[in-house]
Amino acid sequence: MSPLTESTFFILLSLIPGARHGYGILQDVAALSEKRVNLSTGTLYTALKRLLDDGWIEPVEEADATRGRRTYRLTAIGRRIVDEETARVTQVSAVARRQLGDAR
Amino acid sequence: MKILWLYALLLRLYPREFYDRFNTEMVEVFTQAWSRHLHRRTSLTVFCLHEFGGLLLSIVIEHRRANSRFGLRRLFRRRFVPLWLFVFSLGPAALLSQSYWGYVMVPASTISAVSSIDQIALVRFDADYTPSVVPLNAMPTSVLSDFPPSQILSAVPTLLEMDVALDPALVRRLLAALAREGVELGVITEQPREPVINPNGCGTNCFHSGVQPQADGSLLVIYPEMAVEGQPRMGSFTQQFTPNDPWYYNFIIPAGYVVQGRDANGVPIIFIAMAGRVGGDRHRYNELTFVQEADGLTLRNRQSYNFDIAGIEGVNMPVITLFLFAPLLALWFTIRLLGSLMSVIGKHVIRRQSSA
Repeated sequence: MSPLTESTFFILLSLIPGARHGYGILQDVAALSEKRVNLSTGTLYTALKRLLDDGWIEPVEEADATRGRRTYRLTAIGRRIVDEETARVTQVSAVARRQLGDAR
Repeated sequence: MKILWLYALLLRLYPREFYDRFNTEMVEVFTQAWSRHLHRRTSLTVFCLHEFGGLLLSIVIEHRRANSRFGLRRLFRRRFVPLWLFVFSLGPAALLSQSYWGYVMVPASTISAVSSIDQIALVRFDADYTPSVVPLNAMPTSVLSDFPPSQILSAVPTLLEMDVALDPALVRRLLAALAREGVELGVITEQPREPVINPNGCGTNCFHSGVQPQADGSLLVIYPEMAVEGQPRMGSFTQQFTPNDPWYYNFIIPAGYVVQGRDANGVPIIFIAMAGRVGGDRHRYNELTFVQEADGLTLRNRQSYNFDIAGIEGVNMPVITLFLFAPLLALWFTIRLLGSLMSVIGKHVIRRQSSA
């Protein structure tokens, strides 16, 4: 699997605690990335559509979904993707730290 | 609120499917983002550049994605797995059909090369491959659809005299041409074969006859005795068939047509259709088209394959494909089912752990 883009990774991370609606994801992504990743509404939904099509997230049927408050949650596949990406980032980070430590 | 109206209007630029699916949500999210902007009093320019720039970028991406709907990447998604399984089944089925029968789909008869027919004769090919004319009504199987030469009849435009004797000179040239091409007509049995009875008993499926051509031209056919109620009974009985017997040609005698005519340019040609044997589950079939020249016959076209009359005539490849595809599809659905089951169990466990 190729590494995830930063925005995709943060969107998936924002759904770890539970289901979120679109605006909630926008805020979470900004908060988790310490405002490095600021998604617009358009780019958020382009990413959400791809994640939905790939089966990494799924919509949660709610009563007020018709009023534009549809929420999304991670699927089992999405959760596995997050775990794998986290492991990859952790490994890369460990290698980088080790190398930097050796250099010092 | 003109900005909301403008945003809602621009959403129309998305592909229809995307618009129908997300426009309500996007207006809602944009409204919330706008409210937040008003509340925090951030720069309008920055907000507009961010939101509308992102919107336009997203519209471009979605249109590109919609245009590549049938692109390769889409085809590798899970929903297309059955399609790929079908394609993967087609390959081995085609290879198997090609190697065993000599065709993927039964090729069309090359009789179409003959534009006008001067004479057509139904013939049997003797042990030395000498063709001799057979009355059409003496070979009932010649009009059965699973006897490839019978398909020639439908291509004959006019009713012609079929029982015309072949010119001896033409027969000689034909024999020379066939010998040069090394045409295999199938095995002509000279000695009776050992009757075979499956010791486990298999009804008519273990029926194998031995055939011995006799000096008077008749055929001595040796039948094994049939299994009775699943119990094999050794032994055999014989029956002699003469050329006047309708089933005479159902045994090892190769047969077919010799068609004399002209091609579209008026060039005299000879078309030969030969079945290695009339009966049997799988027999060799040849079609050869020769150009008649002053010094003999020159091959123009030839096609040969093994025709199977075991119930899947000409559709071997589709039938094999289904036999390969069905278990693969069942396996795929089983895997999907197990995956879904494990997902549900996993969710249940996580929910229990969360509540604990």
